[in-house]
Amino acid sequence: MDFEQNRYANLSRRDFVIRSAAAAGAIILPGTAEAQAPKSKVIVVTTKADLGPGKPVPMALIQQMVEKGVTTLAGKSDPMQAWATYVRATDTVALPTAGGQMENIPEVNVAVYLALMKLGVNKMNIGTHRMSSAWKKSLTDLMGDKMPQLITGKLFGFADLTNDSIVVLPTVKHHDVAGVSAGLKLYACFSKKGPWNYHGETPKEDPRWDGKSGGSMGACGWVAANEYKSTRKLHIVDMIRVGGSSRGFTAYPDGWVYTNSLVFSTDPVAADRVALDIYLKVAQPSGRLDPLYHIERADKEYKAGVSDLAKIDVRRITI
Amino acid sequence: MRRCSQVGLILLGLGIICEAVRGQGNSAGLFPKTNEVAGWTLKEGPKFFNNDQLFDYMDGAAEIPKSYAFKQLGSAKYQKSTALTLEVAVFDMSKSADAFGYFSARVFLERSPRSKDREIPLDHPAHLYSSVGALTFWKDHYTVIIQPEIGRPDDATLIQFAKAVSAKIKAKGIPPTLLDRLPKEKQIVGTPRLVSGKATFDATVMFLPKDIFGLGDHPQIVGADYSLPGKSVTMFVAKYATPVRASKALNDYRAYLQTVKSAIAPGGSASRFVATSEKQHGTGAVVSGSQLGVIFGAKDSAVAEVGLKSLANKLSR
Repeated sequence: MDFEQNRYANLSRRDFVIRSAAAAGAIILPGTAEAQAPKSKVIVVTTKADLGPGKPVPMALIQQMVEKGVTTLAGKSDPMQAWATYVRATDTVALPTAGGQMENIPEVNVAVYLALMKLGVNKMNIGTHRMSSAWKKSLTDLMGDKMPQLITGKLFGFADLTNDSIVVLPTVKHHDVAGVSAGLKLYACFSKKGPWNYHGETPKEDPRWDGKSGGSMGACGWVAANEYKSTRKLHIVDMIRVGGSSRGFTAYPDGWVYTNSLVFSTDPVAADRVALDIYLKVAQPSGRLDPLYHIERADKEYKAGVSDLAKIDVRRITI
Repeated sequence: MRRCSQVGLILLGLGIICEAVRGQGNSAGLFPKTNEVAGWTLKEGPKFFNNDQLFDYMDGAAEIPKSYAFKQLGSAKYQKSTALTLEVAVFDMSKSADAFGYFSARVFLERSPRSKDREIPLDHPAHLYSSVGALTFWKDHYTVIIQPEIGRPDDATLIQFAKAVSAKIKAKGIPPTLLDRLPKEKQIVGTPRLVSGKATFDATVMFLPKDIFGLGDHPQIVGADYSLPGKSVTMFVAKYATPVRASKALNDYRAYLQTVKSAIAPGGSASRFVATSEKQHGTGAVVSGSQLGVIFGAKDSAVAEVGLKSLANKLSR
């Protein structure tokens, strides 16, 4: 189903102009529906390039995709001005990235880190709970002497640091606790109160939480909505490759599917919702879990963002 | 005074020794030595993880084994070349039923339309995933996973490692007897599972935001999938402490269905109903003593009715 095509099929020219204007600059137009409920904006950049297992991912292509996503999201043609919309030069930036279950295409990380360096940010803290030595080598080889601080083995390790902005770089994969894991799930791991043990149904400081019960990590949206409420957020979801199956805690290559896409948003809920929509066209959630559950709770219960596709302005770009 | 100090030092020393022994792990003797599987060298470990340390090993996925009677994990890495390394992970699950339980949950969650898996005969049927190079089996109170770290080990290697570990486990263990309550006809091979705890129930049986079936009371639950018309037709049996608790679970499930888009079929009773619902499709439940039987995922209420009859027959025996 191409919901994007359907969503725009019946729009009048006036509606189209209003929606485009509101999305591009978050313009509030008095007297319109958008004035009361501005939409979350998500950019999906997809490449037609032939990517796949064993084929090298061109660094220049990924840099082009990242640049296109960030400039379109910000509505600014200059890449550095676009980045500055989300991250300031004075910022200490937290950069959580996907862990060992299925790591990012390293070129995606490198493209983001190099852009932030070019912007001249004060400090970058890359955080991940675990990573394979092969992935770390790929990353450090690509970054060379420009490699920022990398914290591992401490469940992202940056939660107790002062971070002015956060750029979340998740992968999307089959997951035994989330159903499908993307960006929101990571918030349960870098809570400022310490990693939740592990994905409780209610927030950790809620007296209802027994510290043990799980089931689809229902409350991870609470962290995004509360602990990182005032932190400027940018989510870049790496869907160049998704993990369509997993065995325990590893998404092995037999389940990898190349969707050749990157998803951009400042709304962690909308980013995951759109990413899930793309994922479910090519793969299934783990077991019987409802992968929408934690995304919808993040919206409706914790107000961490928008989960209703009808209220998300999705722009799709192919390069 | 000096004598007391000497006794204290001896006790302290014994304590340290005891701690060290515990640190080695119960399954230390189960790991193959270097070249026990020809050409493979023990590269690392075994390392042991107790209780909540399991989260350090496998993050949130630890909720599944921990919902069973998980006691300890031992993990060792074996290397054949720089391009080929595998891990042998031995989960001590305390009881053979729970070893089967974790094995069954693991196998169920690994099922994917993309994966090519097959059952191979060890002491109990084991699951081999050739496309990945992973083998999972259970014996006595151990669940064992042999999986790639780097590269993809071939089937013969995986089976040799499995046999090497299995040979060191003397008792065979028996699967949970409650499995006998599940109808065998049209049961899909490899799907019978023992379920423990809400997280595992959500992941392997039916995802429900609330604890409708009283999993907090720790009923014993078994389930399996069936090749009946519908979408992933599943039947499960929950054995509660009392008939009253089983009846409450039936009533709570019926009440839950009435809160979502469902139609309860006429002709039900206090101990039985059939319904259709948007999420559970053709579904129904029956109580027999302290046992609750549930079917869901059927094409319609007629198929659910057929399945429920076979379930009721099994429960009444």
